[in-house]
Amino acid sequence: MSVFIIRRLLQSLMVIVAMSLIVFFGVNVIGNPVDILINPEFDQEELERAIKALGLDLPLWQQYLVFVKNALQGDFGKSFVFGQSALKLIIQRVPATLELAFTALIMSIIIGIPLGLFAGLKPDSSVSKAIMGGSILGFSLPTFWVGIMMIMIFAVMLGVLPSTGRGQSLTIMGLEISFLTWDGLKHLLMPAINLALLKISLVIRLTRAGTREVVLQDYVKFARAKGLSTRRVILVHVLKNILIPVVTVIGLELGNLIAFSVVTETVFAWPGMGKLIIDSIQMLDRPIIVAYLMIIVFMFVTINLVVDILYSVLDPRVRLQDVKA
Amino acid sequence: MSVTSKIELIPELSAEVALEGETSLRRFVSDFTENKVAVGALMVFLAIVFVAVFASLISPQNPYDLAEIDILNGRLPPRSESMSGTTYWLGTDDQGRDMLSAIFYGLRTSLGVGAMSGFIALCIGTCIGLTAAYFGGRVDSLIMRLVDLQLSFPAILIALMLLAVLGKGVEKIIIALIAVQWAYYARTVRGSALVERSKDYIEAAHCLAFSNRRIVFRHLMPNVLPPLIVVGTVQVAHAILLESTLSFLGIGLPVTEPSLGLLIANGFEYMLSGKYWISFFPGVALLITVVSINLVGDQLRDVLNPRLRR
Amino acid sequence: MSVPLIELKDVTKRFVKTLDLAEKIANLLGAHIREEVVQAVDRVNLRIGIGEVLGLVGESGCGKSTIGRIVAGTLSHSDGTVLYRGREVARMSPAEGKQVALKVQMIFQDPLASLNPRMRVRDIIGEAPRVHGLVAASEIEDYLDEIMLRVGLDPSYKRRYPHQFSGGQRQRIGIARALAVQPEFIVCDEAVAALDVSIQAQVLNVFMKLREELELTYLFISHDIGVVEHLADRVAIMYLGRIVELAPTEDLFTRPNHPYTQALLREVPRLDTRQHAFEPIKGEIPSPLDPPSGCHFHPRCPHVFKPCREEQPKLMEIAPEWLSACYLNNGSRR
Ligand SMILES: Nc1ncnc2c1ncn2[C@@H]1O[C@H](COP(=O)(O)OP(=O)(O)O)[C@@H](O)[C@H]1O
Ligand SMILES: [Mg+2]
Repeated sequence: MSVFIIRRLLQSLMVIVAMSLIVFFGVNVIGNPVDILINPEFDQEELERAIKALGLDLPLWQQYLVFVKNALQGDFGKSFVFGQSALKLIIQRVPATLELAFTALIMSIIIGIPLGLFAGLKPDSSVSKAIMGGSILGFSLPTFWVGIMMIMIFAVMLGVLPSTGRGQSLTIMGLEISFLTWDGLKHLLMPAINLALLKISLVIRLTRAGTREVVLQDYVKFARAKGLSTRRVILVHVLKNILIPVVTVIGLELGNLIAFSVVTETVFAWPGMGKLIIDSIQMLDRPIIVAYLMIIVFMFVTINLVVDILYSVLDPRVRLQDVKA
Repeated sequence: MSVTSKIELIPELSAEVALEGETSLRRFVSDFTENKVAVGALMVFLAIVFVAVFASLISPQNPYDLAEIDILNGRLPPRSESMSGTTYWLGTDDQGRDMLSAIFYGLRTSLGVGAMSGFIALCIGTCIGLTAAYFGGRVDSLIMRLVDLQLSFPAILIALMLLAVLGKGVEKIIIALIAVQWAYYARTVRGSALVERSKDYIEAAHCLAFSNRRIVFRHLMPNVLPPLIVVGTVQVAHAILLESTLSFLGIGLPVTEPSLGLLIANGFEYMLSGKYWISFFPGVALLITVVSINLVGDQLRDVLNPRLRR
Repeated sequence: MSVPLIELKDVTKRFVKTLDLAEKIANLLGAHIREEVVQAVDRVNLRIGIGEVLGLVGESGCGKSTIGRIVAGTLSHSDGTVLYRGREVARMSPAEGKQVALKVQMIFQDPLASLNPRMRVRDIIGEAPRVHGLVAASEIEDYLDEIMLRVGLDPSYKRRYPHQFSGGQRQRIGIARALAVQPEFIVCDEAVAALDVSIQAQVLNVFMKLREELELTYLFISHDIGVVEHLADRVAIMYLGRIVELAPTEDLFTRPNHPYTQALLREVPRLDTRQHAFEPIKGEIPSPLDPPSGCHFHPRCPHVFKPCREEQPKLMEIAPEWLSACYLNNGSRR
């Protein structure tokens, strides 16, 4: 157990170090750091001052150490476009992205599990076949295109939902959230469904597979034969059996949702960090790019670590495998 | 060795006939064709490939030849006629391009980029995975760390990182797509190579004093490739989707190489005024392509997976 | 005895699973995780003369295959020396090493797994002579025909794949592949164990015929002592990585010395003595990770007494050409 956690911690540390190296060398070796880190609109004198200030005249390894030191202090430089600290700009956008990601996550559960259960319990009904067909489609649909089509149908043709942007938001405990207002909720609905689509398909498949497995087991058949109501059998056995895999996958998919929010945020002009990074790439706002990459890596590593450790607590088989390997 | 001493024909030789006359290829084909949906998907996919390859021959117009398009024909809805009398079955975009032709050309770019990146990633991933499995030890754990590292991040993020550093361009996006895919191939190859490597025929090859290179490429590799077919089809579908997504975001292909994603992005701004067709039809083409590849891949997996075999 | 073809001197093989960084840190924090060491082969000495058939017998997991691999050069040993015609293999130049590697070939237990499923028979057999330039390209077809006939395969099956053959035929293909590089020594690792009993005899006959025709030397590995009786000139009995008895076949089968050998022989249903009682050796094979002290066999030995637990008995000559490692031979009892 402890070995497992130590190993995962070491791995996480290595990932962060490796990624900082990759980002650093991406900026300094593949690109020209002067281009990347310094505002191209600077004149010669400003340029030289900036080169000195950023330490770009030092040897590469020293520069890397400086980069790491600054990064640890949360200093990734100032955005060319906004003139503010890159880190701060990103942090400001995090709540909007997380709101979207978590809403999508919850949606994928409350839509995916019932559909998956149904498809698992009545595999031969035509509704189930439609559900499974739909889930295959869900894996193949381009998220951004579905987003556009949703806007076309619900905003342009039917006019029932606002097309883009984040609605009215409230500030609670310093966090800006929008799902507590009617306007905010209306704005949130389409982007969240759009982002959730892929995960809904995934949850449907997992739930169905888990349900099939349980339903075919003798004790469930037996319980049914004994006259227990079908409903209770389902609740007690099936849900118990499918929850662990579903919850695990969902934990791991949270990171994925955050990454994919880049697309959804662009389509729906949702003011999260994904939209910010795309805008920054297009405007060559490099300090934000570097900061975003490091923050997202850190977020990912943390999420994966927490999920893995939680999983190893929940399911001892993970640890056994680890010991054997 | 001396001249053969003519030996008596041992009874076993004549008594035991060959057990399986049927070749594995024929069995494979008959298994695959059992699923009619998959066969249909394969047909559709082949048709798409055909359209993509011969786009310049079968398109009603060359959408990127400025002499052939007229901005006055811009944003015409489907089935409208141009001033010169040709019918635009799927309408035109803002520049007056025939959408059908643009889609044909877009398919060519999308499939080309997807197939090219997939193929290179397959080659790289296979070599790396084989190296890891064959040499084991330090080499293996180093490579697998790298693979795990990469697979712990979603593909779109890796591509985003690379494109943020590299910039736009066809070769850049191909590099990004390769970087995204190689690890899947490497992991799959390593997995099956580890199984194969422990089999006696590899030890026999060692005994026969073959070079490492010969053992890896002549003996190990042919036995490791079948599962790659499945990964490969799924990966190409992913690559096509990813490329279109990145192009839609404006960080993928340049405007001079319009793929389906870029066509959809172009139409996006006209969407709000109800001109749906500029985005809609390229998306349908993309969807059909990806679904058909996925269906073929699903069936391939079922056929090649021995556990599901009767 | 003249210079043996193969000689092992104090050959040892350890498989070690080392601790990774995480486990080392865990140990620093107070955990007790140890390296796992399996002593698969423990100071084994063997001399195999030219033209001889040496049987190597022991229960599964005792290290027979490991010895076979070391002899065949597909596995490196941890300590000791391996000599080929009196010369140390590890010190040979790469070119010479390769020549020797070709001279020692191996036949495997599972005939199907030992043949590359994606190669035709002609390539399986013909690849090595072609690659190593043993046969001119123009003569390769005749050469293949000759070898296939020699092992009892119909040369017209050349273009088939391994899965199109029966078990016995597959094993013949494996033999043909080995013969194609003109070896002097063949390691047969449970070469007939996976075959039907009726086919076993046929394949064993092929081995014996080849031995006469080509003056081959064999190391014949088997977990079943019965298989080697009519085949081997001498038999070595192995237990948990060590050789416990080594004797000419007839002596060993008529007057087994080591209690383990006696136990093994008691397990074999024998026609001649009409002994129906089939007595398995009592107890389980101990874990090779943590072998018993002294004589490894002592926890299962019916004659165990004090020294057995304390020190490993030496392999001593108890008669000419007859070695055994048991304290019972030191006089006092029996
Ligand atoms: N590659 C390996 N790594 C670790 N342990 C091994 C390896 N090969 C064999 N062993 C161990 O060495 C011992 C002897 O194995 P082996 O020589 O295959 O026995 P036998 O052929 O007599 O059944 C066994 O305990 C086995 O687990
Ligand atoms: Mg063995």
